Amino acid sequence: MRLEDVTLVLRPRLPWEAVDLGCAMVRRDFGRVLALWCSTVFPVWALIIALMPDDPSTASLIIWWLKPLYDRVPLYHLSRRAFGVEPKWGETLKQWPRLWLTNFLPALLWRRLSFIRSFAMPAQMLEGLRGSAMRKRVKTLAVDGGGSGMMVSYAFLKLEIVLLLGFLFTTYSFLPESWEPDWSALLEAPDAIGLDRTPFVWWYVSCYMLAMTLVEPFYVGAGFGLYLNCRTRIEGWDIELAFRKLAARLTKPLIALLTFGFFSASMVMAKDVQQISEQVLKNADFEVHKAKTWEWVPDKLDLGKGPKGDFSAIVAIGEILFWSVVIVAVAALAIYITKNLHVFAFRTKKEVQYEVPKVIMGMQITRESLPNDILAAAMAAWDAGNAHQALSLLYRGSLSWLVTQRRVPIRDSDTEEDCLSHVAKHAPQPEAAFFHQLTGAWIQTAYATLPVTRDELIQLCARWPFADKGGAA
Amino acid sequence: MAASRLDTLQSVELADGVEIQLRVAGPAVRSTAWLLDLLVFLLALVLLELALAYTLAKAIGEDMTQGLMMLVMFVMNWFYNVAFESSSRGCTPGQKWMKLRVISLNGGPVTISQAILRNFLRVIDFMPFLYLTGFLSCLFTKRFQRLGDLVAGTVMVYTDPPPVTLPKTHVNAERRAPPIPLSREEQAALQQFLERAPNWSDERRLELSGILQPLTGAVGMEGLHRLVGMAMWIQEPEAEAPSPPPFR
Repeated sequence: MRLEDVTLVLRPRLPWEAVDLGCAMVRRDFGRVLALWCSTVFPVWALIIALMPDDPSTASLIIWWLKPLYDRVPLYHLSRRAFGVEPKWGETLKQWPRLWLTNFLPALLWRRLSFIRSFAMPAQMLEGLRGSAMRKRVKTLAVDGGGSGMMVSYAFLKLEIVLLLGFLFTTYSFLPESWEPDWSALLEAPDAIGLDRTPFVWWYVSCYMLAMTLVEPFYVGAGFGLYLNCRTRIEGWDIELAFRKLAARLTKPLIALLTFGFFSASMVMAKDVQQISEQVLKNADFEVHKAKTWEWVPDKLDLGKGPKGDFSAIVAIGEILFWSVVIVAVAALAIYITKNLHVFAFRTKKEVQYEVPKVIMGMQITRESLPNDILAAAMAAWDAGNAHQALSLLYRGSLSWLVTQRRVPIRDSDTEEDCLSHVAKHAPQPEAAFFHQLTGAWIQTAYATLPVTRDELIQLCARWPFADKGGAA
Repeated sequence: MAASRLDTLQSVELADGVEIQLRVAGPAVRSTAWLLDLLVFLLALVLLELALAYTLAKAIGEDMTQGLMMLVMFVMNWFYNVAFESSSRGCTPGQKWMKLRVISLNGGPVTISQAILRNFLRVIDFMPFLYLTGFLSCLFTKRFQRLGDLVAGTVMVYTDPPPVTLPKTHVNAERRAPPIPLSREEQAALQQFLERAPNWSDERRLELSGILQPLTGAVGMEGLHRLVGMAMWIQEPEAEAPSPPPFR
């Protein structure tokens, strides 16, 4: 057994996945496994049947009892195949007597009813252990206490029953009528039956043998899969494999260098590359497919003769129809476009008329709401001790001017910051600069409650750039 | 060689060139899930029958109850699996118990039409009796699909994560970088060694690390120490960096 030759992907798996791996192994070699089964098991069955043709019940019991022996040859084949050996049918058959005779009695006596039969069998058969050493070994291997082995036995028992019932149902209606037991009599008097039912029971037994032939190899494979999984987990086979590969990779170039020298080594590699690329290009995926198609051309093309008869009336009607459809379509299109003109007229009218707001930030800014002489009113308010009102008057006055005269697009929802940026964009320079300063003073007074000094107010009034100074306007 | 190795993982190439691997489940575990489902189904049916018989029978009469029961049975029989599999969980109670679920071949959840298709075809898979056809098909197709699965383009997969054993013991070795760059598989193998070595005997550990003498350049305990150090380096190239001071 060389781990490098293993033909399975090893990795720690869930128990059920290991079972699936076993099933896949059997499926891969099903023809060979079936051939081995037929050539080792069928002779034994034939012998049993020949010995007791009148007693199918006992025969079926014996056939069932010998099950552990049947498993051994398929297991041997699977184990060889798993490690890269492809044993010939004859070679395996030569092992048959040895396989059946080792551990013959324990397998048929006290281990016959073991629940983990298929799981324990590889340990018994392949590792060649006996007695207590074998028991200890199985205990070590059963990582989960043999639970998964039991589950497998149970699952495959169930599958065997399913298959048996399936075959019974399939073939039941094909039975000769004389074979069938008299079901009504069976119900009435259970003792009276039994005389003529031998063929019927044989039919049942053959269905059972057929079901066993199909299921048992997979049961063996499942147990072997579990066994391999346990050893992979316990001994780290997958890791060993990867380590060996890595070690081989590390040592190989060294040897190549020593033997061929650097130059020849690189030559070899270039040759390899060419070989590899040729191999890759040989793959079916890279095959260039060419398809030749034939087109059928009639021997004599009959182009000379037009259709017979006078079709000019129909042509005229068709022409009228065609043009009327075209006209209707064009008209419909025109109507559609005119009706939905707003969809096509992109943003040409989007610049809607700017409506001068009457209120900004909750402050009236219409000219009517302001005193005639704004500056004088502001000074008066400041002198009266109402700095807030003074600044507010100035601010409202300037906004009013900017909105009505300079058409600065301020909306009633704008904040001080928005107003400022609008003014900076749309108003002439001295007015914008003044507005900037005024806004600062206004914000400071209104929100920070730090009123400007009288001098500052006078300065603001002096710089008032708008033509509308109030009463003089 | 490696490509022909037998595996239970089935890779599927998606339309955008991505290859995903499905952990398909075989007939043994699927039949067990089916049996569990059968038990759940029968239990539900019996409970429903009892409930109906004790509550409705007096109100609407025996015959009406019988008719209603048959109607319920019909719906349950055809839509038990469909309803569970096309739900967000994607599995029936039995499948959940066995940690399986149905997915589409492209790795996504099954659509309602797929669920209906695969479950209505149970009638074919059931033939001639007790899923003989379905079982044989499941046994002999590469992705363990019964006929309904083949038609609907679905597979049964394991939802249980693959077994991982985390290291419980603290490894005392000096972190060191491997002398040469390692491929992903090789790095994974070193990781696996680090994780699973605590479960093995000393002899096995030494044996495995001995294989890698070309990498570690040492045998025996020294080789083992170096190997473990490299595995730790792959896991975390630097010793735990001091965390930055907390932001004020």
